[in-house]
Amino acid sequence: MLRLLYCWALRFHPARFRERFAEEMLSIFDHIEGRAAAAGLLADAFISLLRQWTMRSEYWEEKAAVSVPAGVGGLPVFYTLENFKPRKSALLGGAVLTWIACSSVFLALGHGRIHSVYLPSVSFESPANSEDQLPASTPNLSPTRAIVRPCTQASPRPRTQAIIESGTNTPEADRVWLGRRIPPEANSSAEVSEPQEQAIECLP
Amino acid sequence: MKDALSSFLPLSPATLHILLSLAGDDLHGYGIMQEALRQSQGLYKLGPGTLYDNLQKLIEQRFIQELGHRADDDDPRRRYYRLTSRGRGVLAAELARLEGVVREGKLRLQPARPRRA
Repeated sequence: MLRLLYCWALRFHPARFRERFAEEMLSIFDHIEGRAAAAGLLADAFISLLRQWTMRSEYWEEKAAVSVPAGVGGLPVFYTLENFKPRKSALLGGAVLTWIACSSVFLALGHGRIHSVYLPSVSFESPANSEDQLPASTPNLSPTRAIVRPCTQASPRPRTQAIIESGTNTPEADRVWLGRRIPPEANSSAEVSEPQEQAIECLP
Repeated sequence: MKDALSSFLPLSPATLHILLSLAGDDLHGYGIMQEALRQSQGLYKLGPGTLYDNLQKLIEQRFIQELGHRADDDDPRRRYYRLTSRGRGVLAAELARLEGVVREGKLRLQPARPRRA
């Protein structure tokens, strides 16, 4: 298993390094005895992989630079006018900045929510006492309790919230649904307990 | 020549141990690792990744020459390396620099002589 991982790590080295030294590195791995030593070599291979791709860019493309394909009239088909290579520090800085930017975006996506102020917040709970139990003739419907908490702040979207909480899909149905349960004079928390079957009957 | 070589100084510990290992005999990669461990009395363990990264660099700088495989070796995958005269020169320059460092260090660490009143 460790040998397989080691081969895999060697395979991902830059081509020039791999062609030149991978066989010898594998030969050393085969001569090492002990699982701990093999694990150490595996860690060394991964560090080498990182080093070769981040700090040894000058050795990547030497072979490609030798063969320039000739096109029409002796001119090369593809020719690079500028031999500019960015500095290592610039590449490193760019990598760090990219990492920070990506992390910020993912963090914002993970923690971003729409914090709306709800006017009535209705949730359903199972009844705690036996008085709210449904008759035995309706075994498939569990009774629910609607808890209505009036909000102290004005909300720009009270109706939308009511639709979501009550489970209806039209504003008219929701208005009827809420009208049967919320007393108009209620200014503080009020609890209305009804079986779920009755609530469904109110809906058009 | 000497000024050109001094631009490579100071050598990293890995480079120093590799050049020092090859100063005695031609060796393959695993042999260099073993020799570096012996020279440092077990204190410096050279991994294959670090070894071949440095070998690549030293071959480019013409401090080391690759000899290829040896027929008498039991593992045909091993390749041998030899220190060039240029490599020997840079190793000598580094050792001279280190001698100066050691001399200076010994002077500084000598117990202070009591001053006469």
